Amino acid sequence: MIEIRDIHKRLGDFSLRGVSVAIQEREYFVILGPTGAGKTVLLECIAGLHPVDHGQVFINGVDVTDFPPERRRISYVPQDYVLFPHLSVYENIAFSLRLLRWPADRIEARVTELTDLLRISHLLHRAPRTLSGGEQQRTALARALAPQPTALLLDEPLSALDETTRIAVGEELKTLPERFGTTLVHVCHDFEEALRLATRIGIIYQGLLVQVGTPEEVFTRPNCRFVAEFTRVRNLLPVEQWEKTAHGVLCQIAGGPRLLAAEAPAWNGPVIATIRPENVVIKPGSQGDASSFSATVTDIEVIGGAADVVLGVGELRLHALMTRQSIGQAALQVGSQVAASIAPADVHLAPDSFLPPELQASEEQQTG
Amino acid sequence: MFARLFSQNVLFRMAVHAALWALVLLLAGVLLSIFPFITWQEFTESLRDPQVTYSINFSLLCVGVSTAVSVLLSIPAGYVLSRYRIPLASVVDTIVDLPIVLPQLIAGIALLMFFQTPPGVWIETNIMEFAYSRPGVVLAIFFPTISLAVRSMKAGFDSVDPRYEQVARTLGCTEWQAFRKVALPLARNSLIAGAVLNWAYALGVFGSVVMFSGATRMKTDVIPVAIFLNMTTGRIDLGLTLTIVLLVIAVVSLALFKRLGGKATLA
Repeated sequence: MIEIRDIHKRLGDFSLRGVSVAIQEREYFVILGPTGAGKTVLLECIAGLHPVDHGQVFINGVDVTDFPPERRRISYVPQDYVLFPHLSVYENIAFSLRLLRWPADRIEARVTELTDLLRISHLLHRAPRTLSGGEQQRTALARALAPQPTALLLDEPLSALDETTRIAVGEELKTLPERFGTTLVHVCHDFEEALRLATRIGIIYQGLLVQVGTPEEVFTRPNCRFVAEFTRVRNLLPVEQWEKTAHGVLCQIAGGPRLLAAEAPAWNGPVIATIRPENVVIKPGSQGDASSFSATVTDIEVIGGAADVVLGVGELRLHALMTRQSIGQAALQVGSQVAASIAPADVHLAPDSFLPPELQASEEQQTG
Repeated sequence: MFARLFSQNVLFRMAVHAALWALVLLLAGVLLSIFPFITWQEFTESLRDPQVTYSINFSLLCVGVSTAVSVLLSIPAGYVLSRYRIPLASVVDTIVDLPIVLPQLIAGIALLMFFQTPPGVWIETNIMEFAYSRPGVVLAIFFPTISLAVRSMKAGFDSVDPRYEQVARTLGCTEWQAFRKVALPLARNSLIAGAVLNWAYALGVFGSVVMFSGATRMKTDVIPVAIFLNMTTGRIDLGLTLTIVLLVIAVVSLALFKRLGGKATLA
């Protein structure tokens, strides 16, 4: 288990500010955030490549804050793999084992085991520069896994790969914690990649860890505007007032309809209703059931096989995601009257602030 | 056609190319002008002259020792300058660079003066005599050339992405192991190139040797000193022979340096 407590690290103009998170054993944890958010710095602090200014790093309960990288038993795979160009694939993988002074036959057995599992046993005598992106990726993984590290830190491991290889390698990465009994910390900026691979996601923004949760939690229950926008929640609707009823939490959307949410917000200040566009259900005609409301289609933007249907509800604009086929079946066009509905479980009430209220103050202090 | 030929771009290119070729012709012309003044027979005979063989052998010995010491010192120094943040970095940088811009004569004077100070006198009394002696020639060559060696080594390490060492650290290397197993092999060609350039540059050191060790025939006359002595005493054939030897060494060293991908920089 990796536990980081209140990590602060300043590097030039950038700083990590009070990052705390506990990553469980064999977990696939993804640190997600936009470029420049501090993902790599956080990873390098965990690896011991940057001494932290404040805070502690624990690995399996041992405080390793002052340990050099070589004593942490954490392997790091940078974005472009950084395979040693002066060594063959075999020597790259055996690198850490030679440092551990393993006997030659044991090294060979370990290299064979890893290369068989990662399907690169035919590459052992090749130079790294002659490998494809996917092969380099697998070699870097084998090198990192060779010394049986407590955790594997991967910095944007899929970003340098083409689309087909990315999906295949992603599937392989997903199996690593179970296959190799290791904890995996993966840094990326692609929300869908995180959603596909992670058991938990930590979202980072300008050096602050904004939300930690399962993909489902982060996807459906963002804790602030930033996370909602970053996870492509298109509908962030300001709530004028809300009250608990027998059926759920009844919310009056500013300039729009009343919506029923399943859960009350865990925050007393102003709130927004966050609704994913794929959860807005549209039926042609203005007659819906009691839980639906009337709307007018104001725009339809087709993107590949899907379409972003913009609905006008009073002064409000609501985005709904539909397939092209269902738009055709419903004969929707700009100006069509429709009945829209959203299930209470799909209406999440979050604080109406860019960052979670407890972090917003720190952010405002930082930006002056 | 006429307008295109004499457009501003074409004129600009013609001008800069003309400047380059004028420079190349000037340099090549001046250097090649040595050759008509000596025949092949004179050259080979001169090469067998005891004074010439002494100065070549003595030069190779002194420059070899100086380069070896330079390499041993400049590899760690260049690594520090490339990889670590050091206190008073700009002061350290200036001190390291100073011998490059100082006239060699001043290096010689500074060495002479140093050996008049108590530490210098102690060294001469208890360890070895340097001023006006053969070991002093090594020091007179080392002093003005070490900066170039440090810069070359720094450039060599700069060309290696420090993340290689970072990854090596996470794979279990101590700093020393990361240096020895990763940085050093990856910078190897640049380091050899730097050593070759340092060696070639050291062969041409004149001012500091004359000032610190004197110009004594068959004693402290490294090749440049021997050239000076021969040219000023009318032994033109011997002087030109040694000049050609230096020229050939310089050309071969430079070719080797470039082939190894060396980068000499003051950055």
